[in-house]
Amino acid sequence: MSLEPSSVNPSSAASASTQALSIDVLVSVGRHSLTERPRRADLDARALELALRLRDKRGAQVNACHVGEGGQQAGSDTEAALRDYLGMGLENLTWIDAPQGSDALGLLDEHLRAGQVSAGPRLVLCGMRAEQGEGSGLLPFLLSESLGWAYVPAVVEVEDVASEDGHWYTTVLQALPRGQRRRLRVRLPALLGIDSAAAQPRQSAFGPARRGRIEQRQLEASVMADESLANWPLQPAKPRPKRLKIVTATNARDRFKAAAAKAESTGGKVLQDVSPEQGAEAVLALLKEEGVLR
Amino acid sequence: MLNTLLPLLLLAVLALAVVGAVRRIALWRRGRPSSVPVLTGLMAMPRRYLVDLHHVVARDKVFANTHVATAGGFVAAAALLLVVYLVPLPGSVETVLEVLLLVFSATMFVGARLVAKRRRHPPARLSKGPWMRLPKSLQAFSGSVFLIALANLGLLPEGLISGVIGWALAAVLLVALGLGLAELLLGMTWGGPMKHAFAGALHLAFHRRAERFSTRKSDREGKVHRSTGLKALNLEDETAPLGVATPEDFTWNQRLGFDACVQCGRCEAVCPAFAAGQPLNPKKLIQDMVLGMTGHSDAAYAGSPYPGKAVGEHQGTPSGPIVVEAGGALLDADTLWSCTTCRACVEECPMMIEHVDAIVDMRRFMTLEQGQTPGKGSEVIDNLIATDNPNGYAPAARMHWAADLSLPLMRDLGQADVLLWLGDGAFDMRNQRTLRALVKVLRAAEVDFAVLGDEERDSGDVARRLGDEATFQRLAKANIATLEKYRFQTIVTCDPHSFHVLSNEYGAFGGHYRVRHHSTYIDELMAADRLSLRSWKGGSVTYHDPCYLGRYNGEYEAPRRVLTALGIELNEMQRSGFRSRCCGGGGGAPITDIPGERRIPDMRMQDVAETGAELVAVGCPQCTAMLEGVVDATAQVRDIAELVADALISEDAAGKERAAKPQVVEVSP
Repeated sequence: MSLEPSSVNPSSAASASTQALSIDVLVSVGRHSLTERPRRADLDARALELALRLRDKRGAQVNACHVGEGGQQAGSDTEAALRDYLGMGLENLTWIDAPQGSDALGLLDEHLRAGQVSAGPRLVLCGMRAEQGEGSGLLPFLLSESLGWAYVPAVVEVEDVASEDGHWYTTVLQALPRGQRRRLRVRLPALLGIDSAAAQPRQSAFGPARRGRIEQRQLEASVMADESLANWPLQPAKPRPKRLKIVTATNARDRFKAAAAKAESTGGKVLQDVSPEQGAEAVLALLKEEGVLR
Repeated sequence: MLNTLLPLLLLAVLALAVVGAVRRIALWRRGRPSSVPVLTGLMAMPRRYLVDLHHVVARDKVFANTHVATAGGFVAAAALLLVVYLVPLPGSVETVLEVLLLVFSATMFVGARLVAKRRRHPPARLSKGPWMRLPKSLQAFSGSVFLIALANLGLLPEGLISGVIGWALAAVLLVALGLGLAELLLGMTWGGPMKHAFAGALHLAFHRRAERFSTRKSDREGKVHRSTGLKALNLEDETAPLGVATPEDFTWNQRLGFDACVQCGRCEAVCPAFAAGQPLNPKKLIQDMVLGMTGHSDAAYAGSPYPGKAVGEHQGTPSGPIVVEAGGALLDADTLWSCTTCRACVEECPMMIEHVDAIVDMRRFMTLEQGQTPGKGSEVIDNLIATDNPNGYAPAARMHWAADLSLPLMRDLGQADVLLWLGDGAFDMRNQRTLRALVKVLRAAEVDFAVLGDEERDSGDVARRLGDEATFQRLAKANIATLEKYRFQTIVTCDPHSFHVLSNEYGAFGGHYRVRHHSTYIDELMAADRLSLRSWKGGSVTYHDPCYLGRYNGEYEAPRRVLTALGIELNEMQRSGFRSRCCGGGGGAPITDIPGERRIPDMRMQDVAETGAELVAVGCPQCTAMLEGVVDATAQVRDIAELVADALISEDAAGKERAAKPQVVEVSP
């Protein structure tokens, strides 16, 4: 399968094989699930880990950026969390100031377009969803739409970046349920959303974290209020009561089997070798049947 | 001929030795600065040598006597030799000195013969190589000095000192003396086995833990000399280095200390990681640090290697990295992470070398600068950062084990006699039994105590041993700030690691407390007759000394007194007291989990099995966990607090009292 985005950047890459891969990693402030302490977000850290591996492997240039409010305060929670990313081995990180309640989308769009200085291959990596705020996982979709780049969610590995016929392509592995993987070839530039099955992020070390530079950036022209956020009521999440599975097993083996059993999928059908129209009709029919579409 | 050539020979050797000394000192000084009182140190040196160092050497009586004879004889003989041949003296004085020379060289010769005898079948811990020629050099020196003194006193038969025979004898004596001087005087400063004497003397004078040594005053006050807390890194200054990356990053007196190593291998013999076949040998580690100063390969090292690592494949450079990821540099990372920080090597080292300090210094660089804490290390550090406990439990769950005990909280009381420090064992189901037992004992003795509850955080012990000084300091400062809010007289804890950190390492951050291990505190309660106990009815019992209670804090007696007071006759293990073998649980070793051929706790339970004991009493959550994890163990593992709680007989009487008071009667788990 090959995704062919409508390219914003007309590739003039005849001599492209010498051009360095440029990777932007979008990082957010995470929050520990038990203590709610700010720290690097797990998925974003995995994205940075992938980028750093590409840097070590093929000399990619890695730029990390964060959009968030309070860019002026040193010693803030945000700064502490951003330093966690620096501690992974980054020398600097861009912190784009976004006033409270503003939308990150426009700022990121402008920042990424401005960073497009050469015609070399470009990748943007980010975690699939943030750990605080809306956390809807929609940002990469919206960003890829506004940039006109491809977006591949649930990426676990970037295997290769190579040029062919004047275009740059990357080969990535995408996570599917049950540990399955799908290999995709994607035309660059592209956005990759990193899955929780990607490699563990490396340890963040104190020394590099303290030395790393955080560069403030103001992009006032692109500041827009996040209307949807303003309209949404926010409330603390409550753990939903879970129905206990009652297992009436008399021996340990049965109890173990019950505990280890995976949810079996029931029903459904696999469509193979069908035309796009037939496929679309089948999906529509299913959505109607499930009551998603009325 | 002798009397003209000898002074020349002595002067030449002395001059060369001085040149060597200057060069070696310059080499040490390439390390980082460290300020020590130079004059005070030099003045204190003889006492440190004769009292503190000899105290360690004397643990091996036979060799101590050998060393006294050889070294004492040598120092005296060499000094006399210089005086007699380089200072013009009146005849009568010279005769007296010659007689003394005769005596001391004879003493030294006897010592040298004993050294030679030991070297005939040397134990595995001793280094071979150049060390094998040392007895010959010692004998050559002492023998030739003896004969020269005899000749000068006119005690040699005429036939030997006249004519061709006399010339030949003089030549032989000069050559032998020359060889002896080359080894014993030049070797001190130019390298070779005798380097330990020169470096060792200066190391004692400029030791970075001067407080380790006894002084006449401290003897009068009956203090135990211990300096076991790790030294704090300066994190305020952003340009200050974080740990040690290259041989030149050690302070100059640490480098001097490495050079003091005599390669006696006492550290190797007691190292639990070495015995377990993990890639660590404290002696080789120190020798590697010595090689690092000059950038030599370890091919010429003639002692036991790191288990599983061949000699000759590692080489560093004086200012190059000690550890590189690909291996082949001075050390491999797994050598550093095998250490349990049990301090057995430091305790046993006659040259007072600080192995643990050096290892932690290098770990600090790996963790703080490189982010390469192996195994579960980075996960544990992340947990400590996010949840203040190493296993990532919800901080609010710290008191769940005591939900039914209604423990008084410091937050409510503000003050109490005793602050019971729970430690991270509060999250561990096995240690919770110990804690409940301890609470029962405290209540039986009607101790006024309170706990910090959810306000308590990890003491920072594990973070610090894993090299994460930043997290340690954050936790230490947070805990000190919490403790500052309350008034109490004593902190009691059942965790020797917390005990050590609270009493020895928080001081650098302004936290000075009176801390007691629960065994010490129970001992005090017993001495004050506040506990009435049934006598022990079980089988044979042995006691395992936790490293952080014993070697780190010198508490060997109180736990034994408590057990004896229970009516237990202790069946001591061969390795107990200051020679206790580590359980393998310290220094983050279970977290970094470097593979070896055996497991350290298995070896320790084997020690227990050899005593035939049915029960091993412990006083540390780590030891409990490690020893209980041994499969097919022959002995049960119980904490001292549990043994005491089981023996309490005040249950009825106390029960009546409690009924009168509005107090919760506790239920045994």
